[in-house]
Amino acid sequence: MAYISFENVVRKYIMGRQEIYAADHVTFEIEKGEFCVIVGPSGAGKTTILNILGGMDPCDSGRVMLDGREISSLSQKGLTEYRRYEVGFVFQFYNLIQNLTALENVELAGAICKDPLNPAEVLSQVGLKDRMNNFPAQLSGGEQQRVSIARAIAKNPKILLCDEPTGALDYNTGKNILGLLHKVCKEHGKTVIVITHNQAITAMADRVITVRNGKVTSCVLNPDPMPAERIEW
Amino acid sequence: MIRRAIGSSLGRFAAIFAISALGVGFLAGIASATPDMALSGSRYYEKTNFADFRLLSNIGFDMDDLYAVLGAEGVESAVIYKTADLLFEKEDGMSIGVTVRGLSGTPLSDSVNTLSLSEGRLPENEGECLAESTVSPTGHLKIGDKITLSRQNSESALEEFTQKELTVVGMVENPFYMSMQRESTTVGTGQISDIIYVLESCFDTDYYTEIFVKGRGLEGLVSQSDEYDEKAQPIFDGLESLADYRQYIRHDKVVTEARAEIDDGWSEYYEEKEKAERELSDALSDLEDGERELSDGWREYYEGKESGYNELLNAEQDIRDGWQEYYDGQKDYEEGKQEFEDAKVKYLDGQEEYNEGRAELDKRWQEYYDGEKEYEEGYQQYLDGKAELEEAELRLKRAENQISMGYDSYYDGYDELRAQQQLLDDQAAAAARAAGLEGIQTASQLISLVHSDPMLEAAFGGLIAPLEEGQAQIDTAMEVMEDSLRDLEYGEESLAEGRKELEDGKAELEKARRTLLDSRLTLDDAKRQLSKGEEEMQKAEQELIDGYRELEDGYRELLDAEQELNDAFIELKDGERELTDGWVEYDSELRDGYRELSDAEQELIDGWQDYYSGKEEAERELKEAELELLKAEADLRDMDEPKWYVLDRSSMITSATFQSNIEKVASIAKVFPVFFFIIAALVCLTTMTRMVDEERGVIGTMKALGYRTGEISAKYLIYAAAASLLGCALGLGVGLKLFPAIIWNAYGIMYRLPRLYTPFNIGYALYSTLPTIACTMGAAGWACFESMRESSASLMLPKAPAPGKRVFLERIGFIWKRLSFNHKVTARNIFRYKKRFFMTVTGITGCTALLLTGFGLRDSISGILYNQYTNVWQFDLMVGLKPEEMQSDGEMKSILDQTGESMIVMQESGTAVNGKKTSEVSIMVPSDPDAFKSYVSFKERVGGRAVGFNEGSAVITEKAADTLGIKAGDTITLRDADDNETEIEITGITENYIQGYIYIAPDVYQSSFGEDFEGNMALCKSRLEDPSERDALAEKLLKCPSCASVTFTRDTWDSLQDTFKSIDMIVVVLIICAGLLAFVVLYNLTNININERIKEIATLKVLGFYPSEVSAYVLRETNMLSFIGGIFGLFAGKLLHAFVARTAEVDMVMFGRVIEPQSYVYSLGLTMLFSLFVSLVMTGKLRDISMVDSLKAPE
Repeated sequence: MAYISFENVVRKYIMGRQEIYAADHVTFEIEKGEFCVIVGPSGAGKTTILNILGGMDPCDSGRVMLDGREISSLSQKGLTEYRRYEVGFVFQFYNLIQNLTALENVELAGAICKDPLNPAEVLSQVGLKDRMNNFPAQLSGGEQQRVSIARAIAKNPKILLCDEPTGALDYNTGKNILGLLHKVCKEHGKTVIVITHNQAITAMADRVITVRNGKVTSCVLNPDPMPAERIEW
Repeated sequence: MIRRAIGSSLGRFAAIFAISALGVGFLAGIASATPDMALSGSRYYEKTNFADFRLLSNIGFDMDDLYAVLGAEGVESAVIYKTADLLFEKEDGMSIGVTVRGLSGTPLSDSVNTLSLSEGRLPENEGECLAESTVSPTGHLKIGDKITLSRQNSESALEEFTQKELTVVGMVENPFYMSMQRESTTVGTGQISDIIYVLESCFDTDYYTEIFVKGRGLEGLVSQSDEYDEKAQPIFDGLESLADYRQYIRHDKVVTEARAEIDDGWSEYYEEKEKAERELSDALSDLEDGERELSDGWREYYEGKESGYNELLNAEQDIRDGWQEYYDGQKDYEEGKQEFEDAKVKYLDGQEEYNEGRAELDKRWQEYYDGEKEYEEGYQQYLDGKAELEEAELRLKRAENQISMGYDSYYDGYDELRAQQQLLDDQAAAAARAAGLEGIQTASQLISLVHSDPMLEAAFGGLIAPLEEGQAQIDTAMEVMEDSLRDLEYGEESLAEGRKELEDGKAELEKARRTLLDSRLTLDDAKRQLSKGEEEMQKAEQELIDGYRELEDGYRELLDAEQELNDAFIELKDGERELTDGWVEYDSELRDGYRELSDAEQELIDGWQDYYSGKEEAERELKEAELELLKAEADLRDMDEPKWYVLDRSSMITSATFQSNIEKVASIAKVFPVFFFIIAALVCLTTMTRMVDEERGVIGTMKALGYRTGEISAKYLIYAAAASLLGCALGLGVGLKLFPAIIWNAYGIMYRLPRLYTPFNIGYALYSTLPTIACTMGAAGWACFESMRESSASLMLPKAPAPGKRVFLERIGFIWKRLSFNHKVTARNIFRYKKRFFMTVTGITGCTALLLTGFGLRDSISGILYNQYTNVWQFDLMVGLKPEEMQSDGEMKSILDQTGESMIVMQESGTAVNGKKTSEVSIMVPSDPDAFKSYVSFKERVGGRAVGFNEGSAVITEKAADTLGIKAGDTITLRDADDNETEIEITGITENYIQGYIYIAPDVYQSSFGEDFEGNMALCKSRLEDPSERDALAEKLLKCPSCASVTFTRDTWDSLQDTFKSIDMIVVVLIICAGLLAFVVLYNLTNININERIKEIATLKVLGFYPSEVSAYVLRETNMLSFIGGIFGLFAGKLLHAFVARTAEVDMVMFGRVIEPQSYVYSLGLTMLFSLFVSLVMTGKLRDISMVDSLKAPE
């Protein structure tokens, strides 16, 4: 059985009389340690899939499994615990706590989980050893995203979910961040799932899942992933 | 669009609405309480015709004064009253000071100070009265109560008030007594607790004491407003100038009257004295007579006793004799009866004999009657013969007479004829001589001559004829005469014959007569014998009749005797009974007599006693009367200058205190609600600013779309205006009614409240509404304006978040490191947004301060009673005493000694004056100043430093000192109830809460007032906790003759506790308002806080924070701010409380200045509680924050 599996997951919204399927019988699988990219145009439903996987949004039907555990049947509390212990998030807009230093932001996440990594170490690993005590406002976008990633890693989660991690970053910084994520995936052995509308990024993924109109149109393994620094868009 | 804006931010809209409502309602409500109260008071005054002026005089008024006042300029109406302050005793023996007012006419429609009957009915006779209904806890009288005029009253008062016992039949309300504060008095303890109304006829005085005046042109004006004062002043001046001369008129009259009265008094005194002496001597002689009479009485008694006894014994003997007699009589009767029977037989025999004799006699009678008859016949014959003879004799006699008479008449006729012949012859001789013829002697010669000679015939013609005739007559008569002589001679012959015959008859008759005489004698003999027999018969008959009568008498006698015997029997029986009765009567009469005499003896003894006591009393009374008269003389000499006092409303206790209380409310209204309002305004401002800030993106977009500034701003301005306007409307609607009503009712402690009028006060409405609206709209406008200055592009970008900063705390590493991670965040956050921090803290500070002020006021008030009755006053029982009875009343002292420590003090009411400031105080003079310190705690409130009290001290209480503006060492003027004034140096100021006191050591009192200490009250430490024990003690004390009243401070405490509850009301309202404000402010600020940080919260949720952790993360900060604000609030509240307490306290009491620790705890606790409650509400909101949505938008 795969590490992560979506089986006929449906998520629909009622807009007036119309039912809109954000996720329409989505089915895919991801293996442990894979660097997976979910790609699709805006509004295709990729964020919905991420939200369901991240335990932020429930699904209306179907089954979501992670490491042999059914996510889709968890209670609110279960979901919170799930987010707390098993998922790391990286947001497009970093979502750092402005009032905490970089280190503290990482510590904040680490404070609530069972087996956190050393925040300072993690920050060193993401290359922010010298900026540890700076406030987010004193950091650049890339640096903030690194803090964000460090925060996610520090929790020592099973999976790392990244929603457009490069969306707010310039090209080079974006590539650095992608490289960092890749490194985390490979060095820490975390399963990393990146959502993006940027097709170019698929080149570095182990698995590419293409979503369109709420449906998974393809789920292919990339036999030869490219290192991030070589990706161009 | 605006509706959607409101709908989408209902919390915010509600917050602005609620805060506006609270702020405006509170400000306008409290502020308008003042004019509302003034108006309501004035309306009440007007309705009840409350007097504008009151006139008093030290010499009283009369009706002329009233007319003068009515005639004064600007006086609409005036009424005159008789009043007196008197002591009465209630049925339970409690003495109460009572102002008694006379009623006349129709008191329910008087033109000034109209009474209204709230219960019961008007008095119908002098034994009934009305009582003023009062809110005061010391007002005692209810319908049905009976009160008795106390003998404690002065002599003159007892004289002037005739009614000794009164029954309350109705309750009335007099505007003059709207306030429960009463004027002080000189009677009793100096306190008037009740007002009663009696018929004016209960006063036996000829003067009035009071005039109430209603001015013209003052209707419709708010009492004591500037306008009122301006119009009232000229009337007041007019009355004063009227007073200036009227007072002397009255004075002169009074002096004259008094002089006359004293003179009358003297003459009455001498009369009475004489009368008394006379009466005494009369009484003495009466008594002496009585003594004499008594001894006579005793003598008579003993005599009577003996004689009565003897009499009865005699009577007994008599009855015995009577019986003896009776039995004798009975025997006699029997004998008499026998005798009677014998006599009866004898009588019957006699009767028979008599009948036989009778028959014999009757036969003889018959014979006699026959003889008699024969005799009668013979006698008749004899008589006939005799009559015949007598007749013949008579005839003879008659014939004899006739013959003798015939001879007589013959001789007479013959003589006459001879005379006639002579006459005729003379005539003829004369005529013949005349004719010359001589020698003619007779007529017949002439006639024969004449006839013989014709010549002579012719010569004698006529003469001759009569002569011839006369001669012829004489010749004829001569012839007749011759005839009768012959007859006579014949008659004489026959007469002699008849005489012879008569003699014969007579002899014969004589013979018959002799025969008759013989038979007569025989008959007479027979008759005599018969008559004798008859006589005998008659005698026998008489004897029979007598015998019969005798028998009858005997029979009657027998009957009588029988009757007599019977009567005698009855009489004897009666006699026996009478005797028995007599004995009984004798005994009882003896007893009665003895008792009567003993009584008389006792009476006499009493009489002597009465005499001596009467004598003594009369002497004493006379002495008293003399003293009184002397005193009256002295009084008249010392009589005060006459003085009228004209008082306006500022000097009448009801209107004056009411006015000052209105001013107090005004002073509260100036601070508290303004502070409240400022907080409300501040919060509105914050809210609007935040709203505009939050919507900068929208503003930017609209601006980019080409909307003009005004159009964009309009939305926010209208939103602000709508929220605050609606809030203001609600606030005004509720506040303008509610707050004045609450404050008004709180004054129900002191006043019998009339109806409250709460007209819509446009001034206060605008005064509160305009700033609120201006604030919210101004904030909105300003924020819009600020935003508009930025370019639309930069507007559309999120406003750069304030950068994180290190806070001061981090520098203290060892604390910082120990802080949990969340706390670090909180700490940083708190200082991150300075503006928000400042606003939140200010808002909460304000709310906490208001809460603390509220709680503090409660402490101040509740502390009053506790402090006064447990800390300041160490005694717990006050016993009013009657000084003149105290010497003789040992019982009181022993009861007090058993009860606990006690001390005699003297208390009277007075006024402390310092320049223009005055304060009503009670003057208390202890008998032992050193020991007094254990009864009243002498210490300063602030710092608790002990204040000395011993000889030479005069200590005044704090509030009075504040009012007078004095400190220890200053000198004040002290005026007692009798208007004696003296200067006193204050040696200290001591803590006190209820009423004002000046404690004066007895030596100071004596030297300053020149009067001796005379205790009229005992202070006692009974330490009785059980009400029934207290009642029992009170009952015991009230039975003592020297006890006038018994008051346990605990009971006063309890009754005041009730009244303080109404002040508590205001405070509770303050607390509730402050609490509401605190809640709204906290909610609003927290709401803003959360809205600003939705993204952060969403992030935390995504990171897997439990809801409780999320709440804690966000709300810890709010709570922290609340806490900080709360702490500041405690400081601010202390200041605010000090101010409000000072301005809000009523005259009578001093509010405590100390806020109890628990009030700090409550205030802060409540603030925190609200904060937590808001947190709880917000936790729900936090849960609803969607992670997904929040993370989408950029910051």
